Amino acid sequence: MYYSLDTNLIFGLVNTYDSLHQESVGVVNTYKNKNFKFIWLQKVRTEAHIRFQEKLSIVVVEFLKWQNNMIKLWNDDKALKSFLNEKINELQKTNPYRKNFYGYLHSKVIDFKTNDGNPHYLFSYLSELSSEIPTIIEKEILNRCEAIDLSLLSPPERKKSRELKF
Amino acid sequence: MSSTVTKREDFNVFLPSEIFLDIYKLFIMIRQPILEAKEILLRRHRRSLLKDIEKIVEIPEEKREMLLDTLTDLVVIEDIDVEAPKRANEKINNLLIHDKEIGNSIAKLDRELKTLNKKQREQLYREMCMKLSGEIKKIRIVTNDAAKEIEDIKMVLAVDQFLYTLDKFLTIHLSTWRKFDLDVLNYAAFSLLWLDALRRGKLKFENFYDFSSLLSLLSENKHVSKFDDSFIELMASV
Repeated sequence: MYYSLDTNLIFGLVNTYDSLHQESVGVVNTYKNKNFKFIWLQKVRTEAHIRFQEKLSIVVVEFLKWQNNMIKLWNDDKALKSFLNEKINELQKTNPYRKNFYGYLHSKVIDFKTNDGNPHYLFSYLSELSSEIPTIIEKEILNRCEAIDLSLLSPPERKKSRELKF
Repeated sequence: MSSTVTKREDFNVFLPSEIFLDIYKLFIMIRQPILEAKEILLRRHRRSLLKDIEKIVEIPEEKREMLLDTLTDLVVIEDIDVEAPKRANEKINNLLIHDKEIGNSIAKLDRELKTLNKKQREQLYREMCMKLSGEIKKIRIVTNDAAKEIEDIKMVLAVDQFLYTLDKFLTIHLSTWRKFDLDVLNYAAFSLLWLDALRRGKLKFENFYDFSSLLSLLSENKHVSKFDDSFIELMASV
């Protein structure tokens, strides 16, 4: 049997800060245990890329407003952490529905710092991060459930796939 | 997809002019890769063509701006899809060839390019794409620095993401394609004009993203046919 991924499930799987992350992983594991195979249609895949990228870019703009403050505090772990927590809390109050993405981006800024990233290139890093979303989604979905893309099947396999039941 | 409106807005407030300094130079380099092959021309005793190269590259600023203004009109279209750069390419070529001042020189260089063998041409295209990739990286240093000075960075971020995506698009195609696909040049030339159209206020901000997403998808789905119907369908429905 086959399970077809949808955009919201993809968001839940990829973004560990998504409020439905655990549930999304649970859904995938349940169907995995039932020996289901996962497929994602080209359309769903592309839609997930575009939407995730758009939402992340909005949050990147909000984060980069504090770019110069972050550069100043970069070498002081405690001060940087406290600054980011305070600012993110403020943002979450204004835009609670973006909480998932604030958490996601916060973790990426910390990753950048942990990997000795130069704060003067934080802008380029975050810009590339949002541009790399399609790659991130592809990897995560392959790792989580080895989903098959129907559009990549050979013509005989595609023909066979028309008989799939969901 | 929402329509593209050619209403002018003052984007220069948010975009440092340094980003756009070399757009013409880079565009003309893609359109006329032989500009970068001066040694080949000299080896072939075609010194006279160096004057034509100079004429195309060193055009007066006013003329360059007028030309870019007309060229950007050709890329600002409603409902962008994967075929758009290909369609625009014909119009762009037509416009350049018929230009009073540089048309003859462009035509001469076109003829010279055709005299190169396939291997030489492919090598030229590849070298030009590598150079373009290097130039894009240089512009990204400018956007990175500008982002620290500008309060509203939404626009600079969009431009930087666009440049990064274009660079990635070129790099992926250069490293994975055994045979050089000329469409890569169409996409690259179209991208630069699309970027300049933003500066000229001919594109709405949200429309600017459309082509960026398209390029990003084309880079990621290199194993999928570029003209896969599902792309076109999706881009039309977003």
